[in-house]
Amino acid sequence: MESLVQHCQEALDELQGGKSFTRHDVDQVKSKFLGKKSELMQMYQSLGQLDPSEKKEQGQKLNQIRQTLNQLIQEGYIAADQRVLEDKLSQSVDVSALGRTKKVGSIHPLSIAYQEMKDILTSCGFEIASGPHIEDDYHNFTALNFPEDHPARTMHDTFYVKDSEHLLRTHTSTVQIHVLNQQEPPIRIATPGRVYRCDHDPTHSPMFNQIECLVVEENCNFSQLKWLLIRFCEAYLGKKLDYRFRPSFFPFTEPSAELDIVWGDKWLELAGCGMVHPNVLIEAGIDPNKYSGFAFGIGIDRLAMMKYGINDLRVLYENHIEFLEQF
Amino acid sequence: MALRLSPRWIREYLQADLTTAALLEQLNATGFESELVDDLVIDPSIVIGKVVAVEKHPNADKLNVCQVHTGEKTLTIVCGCPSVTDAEYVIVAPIGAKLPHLTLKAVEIRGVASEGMLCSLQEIGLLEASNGIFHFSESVDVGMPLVEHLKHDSQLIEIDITPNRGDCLSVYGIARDLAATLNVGLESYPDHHGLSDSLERTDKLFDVNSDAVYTYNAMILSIDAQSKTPLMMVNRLRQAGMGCNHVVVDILNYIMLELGQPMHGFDQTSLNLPLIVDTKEKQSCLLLDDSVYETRGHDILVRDQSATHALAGVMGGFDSRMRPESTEVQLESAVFAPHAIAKTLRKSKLGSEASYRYERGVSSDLSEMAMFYAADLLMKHTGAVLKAYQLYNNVPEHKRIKPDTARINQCLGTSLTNEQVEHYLTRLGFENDGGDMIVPPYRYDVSILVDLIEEVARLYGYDQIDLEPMTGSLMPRQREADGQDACKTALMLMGYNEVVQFSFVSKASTVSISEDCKVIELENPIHSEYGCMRTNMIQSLLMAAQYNQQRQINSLKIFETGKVFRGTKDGIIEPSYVAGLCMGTYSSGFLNADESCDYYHIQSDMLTMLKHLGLSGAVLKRCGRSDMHPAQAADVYMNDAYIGYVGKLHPALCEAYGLEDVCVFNLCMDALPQKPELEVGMPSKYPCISRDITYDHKKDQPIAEVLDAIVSADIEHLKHAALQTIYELDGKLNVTLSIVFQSDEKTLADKQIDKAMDRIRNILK
Repeated sequence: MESLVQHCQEALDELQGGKSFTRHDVDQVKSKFLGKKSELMQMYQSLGQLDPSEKKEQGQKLNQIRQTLNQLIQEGYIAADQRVLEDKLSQSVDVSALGRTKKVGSIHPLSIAYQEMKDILTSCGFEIASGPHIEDDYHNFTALNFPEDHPARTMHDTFYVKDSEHLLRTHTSTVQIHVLNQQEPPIRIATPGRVYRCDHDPTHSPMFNQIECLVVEENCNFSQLKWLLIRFCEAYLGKKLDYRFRPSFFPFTEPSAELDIVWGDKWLELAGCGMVHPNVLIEAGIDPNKYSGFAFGIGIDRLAMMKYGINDLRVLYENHIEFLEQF
Repeated sequence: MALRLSPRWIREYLQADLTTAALLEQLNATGFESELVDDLVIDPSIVIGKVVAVEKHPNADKLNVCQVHTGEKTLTIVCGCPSVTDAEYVIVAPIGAKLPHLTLKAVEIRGVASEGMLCSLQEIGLLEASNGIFHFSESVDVGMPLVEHLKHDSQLIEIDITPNRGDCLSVYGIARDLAATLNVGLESYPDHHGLSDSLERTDKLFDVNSDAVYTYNAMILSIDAQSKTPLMMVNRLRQAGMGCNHVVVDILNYIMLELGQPMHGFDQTSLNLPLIVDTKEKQSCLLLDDSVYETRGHDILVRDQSATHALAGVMGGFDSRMRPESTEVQLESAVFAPHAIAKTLRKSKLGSEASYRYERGVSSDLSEMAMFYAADLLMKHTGAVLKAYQLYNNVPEHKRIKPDTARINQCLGTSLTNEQVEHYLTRLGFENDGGDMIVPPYRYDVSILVDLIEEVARLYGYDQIDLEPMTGSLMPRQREADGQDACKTALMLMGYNEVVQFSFVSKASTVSISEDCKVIELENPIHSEYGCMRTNMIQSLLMAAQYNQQRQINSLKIFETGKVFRGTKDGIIEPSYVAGLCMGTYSSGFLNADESCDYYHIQSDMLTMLKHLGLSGAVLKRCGRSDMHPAQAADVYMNDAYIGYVGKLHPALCEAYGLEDVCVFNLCMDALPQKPELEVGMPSKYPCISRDITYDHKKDQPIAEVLDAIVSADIEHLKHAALQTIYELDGKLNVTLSIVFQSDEKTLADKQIDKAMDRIRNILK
């Protein structure tokens, strides 16, 4: 009878020495030594034929063997679990190798800049407005107080559409006209978008992006314009700026100004701005005695180039993948 | 236009001693973008000399040995210029002097030591080309450095004058504004009106018959045809980029630079007096630039009974121009209405220094004064004899504006007093007349209150105006999903690089990828490759793909969002699109299969993007576009509406672009349905059961139709049906679908599932 324990131990030892050693293997040993058809069970069944005195003694012996076998089997399970774990742990990879890589794309720097500017302005309560790129003379010039034939019109190198009265908008100020014609003051809008001028060199692109802000309400003034424009630029560029405002000329604003900031070691022209010219308000049916307005316009391209330290405007529109992937 | 002016010239009119740097800073601070530009450096050791003796060189036929007095010394100079025998006053560069292209050294020329060089204007750098040494014709001081004689500055101020400030297109105009903004004194205009005392005033020179003529003055005089333009003027005209012409023209141009009054000199013998100044259409005129101009009704002409002699304010006529032999001159000094000149310029595409000033406004108080100044200079430099003059004046009344200090402060956010406002405006030449400010005649740009506000702000100083925070009511805003942003994020995460292409493309690309619309062409494109507005986003994406492929980037995924432009019978429309393009290897590298992009890649990317927008249920049908692969491209529909297409580009088109297989999608953002309200369901507590089923698929039937038939057959507890695999064997298609069942109420019994599967099998038969 003791040989049962020995056989069981041998069976388990054999398993441990083998290649595969799982709980399933231990199950089979268990069934062989402790299952219904096992030798031990047969011995239990034959207990009934014994004398009561022998029966008791024999019964105790069998119980003891069963307990020992059970213990062996439990140890077998633990060993099997251990072996499975060891197997799993022994499977290694080179963690330094890069596999199953996926390329993430990129958002164009102009889009990032546009998004950031939009976030700043909408957080200040500005609505985003947009309008057509192909405009007529009225929206691009006349309504913005560029009188017909006036030399101010030659300030913009305008693209004209063949065989039509249309042109490509030279500034997003055109959107102001659409909004002023549709909405009643108070108005606070930002108008980002593509604009077009017939000019192409390292600092001029025939198409570029602009964002303009327009405020029309009672009693707004030049001091507030200065405040908003400076705070906007500081918010976007992420630092305090040294700046100056210089008088300038735009037909649709008066007084008009240009904002310069210190960038690197020199003054850099950043934005044009001014109080909306009363002729623009009158043309849009707004009473300039009741309401005043101000507006500023900034090149998104210029600001993005400053932020990213890009010198040549053209790279923004060439779309070389190696350039784009950096963003 | 940028004006290049000598700072010294500007200082001549300012009653203050200011450095060039101070002038520059002040100009920039008051609305004139200015910078210093380098001009010619003239060595101060170069002086004016007097030739006192000329002898033939003992050892050379063509050389002369000259004795030249330079004030303190008399130098012996060997000179090869034949005209030296007639020379009196000359430019002398002594040993050590630096000229633009050489430094003079002591040399011995054929045995005679030369102590310097007599110079031509070309050698000094004053002219591009010149013929021999320069002889002064004006009066000079022997020994004076040339740089002093010329009142030359080696650095000029280049000033950008905005179109509103026509009054500043001259030395005097700039000085006048500087004097006002700096609050310093200003010299008055050159006054030579005394010349009129002994001069006949006539009415026989011209008749004016146009309201657009504000002033017209003329003078007749005769000159010495041999006269030359003084070198000082030659230099200042050169500095202004204006070149030299006839001495009369040069002197008139010089006055235009100095005072801002354009003038014209006619050869009087070509005129049939009196001249008529009026508007008349359909007159043919040969202009100074050699072009023939046909006049229109709005053009102001200077003409006589037989010919048109000038397009007034724009350009003189060729036949009555000043010629080298001309001795009889008729001067014109006039002011024309800016709008009239502007109209002629816009319609004619002509332009000149004069017209540039006229269309921006020439002050009406200049013309008479400038004419007498011209007379004075012509007498000095051309020996002019004045004969008669005529004046005409029809100046509009001076504008008056009431300065409203409260409005000024409201607009600027300042707290200026009435006295301050008046003080600033007076400095600028405005005059207080009973509370109104009278606008000086040179300020064409000032006519209403805001114009005054700008002037006050300019003198007060823009930087003195405080910052005032804006306030407003707090208004929580409805959150609005931005479809474009969501597209961008989704595509970026799927490996697409966003591109921003120009909105213009080539005409050819609008043909190869065509839309049913009129193509919008530009009148004046920067390049023929950019001659048309894009009608389809793929036109732009292909340009970007091509650009990269030419730079050895053969695999890429790019997208763009933006507008396309189409002419329709209802006008121009600008719909918004999102379009993507992938070409080359879709994935590669360690543990990635080397897959080339195919229809299913681009389709999956597009559907994922739509899912990110909250849109599912796109229906794909065979696409018939001629620019797409006939069997590997689909039209995309949502809620039965067409939203775009996806698939492989037509191989012939790829070939034409020099590209390998290209896959694209192109969706109209404006056609996308609203994101539906989300209906949130609870997951079932009971297990789901899946079954696969394989059947023979009819080759031409879209699988989507089969799946649709199953899903819409109302089969109980069917959770979903999806395509698993397609096997092609001996020309037959074996398709495996995976079908999943689940109930919300109970665990499903095999029997029920079997029944459902029987129904599906029936559908598949």
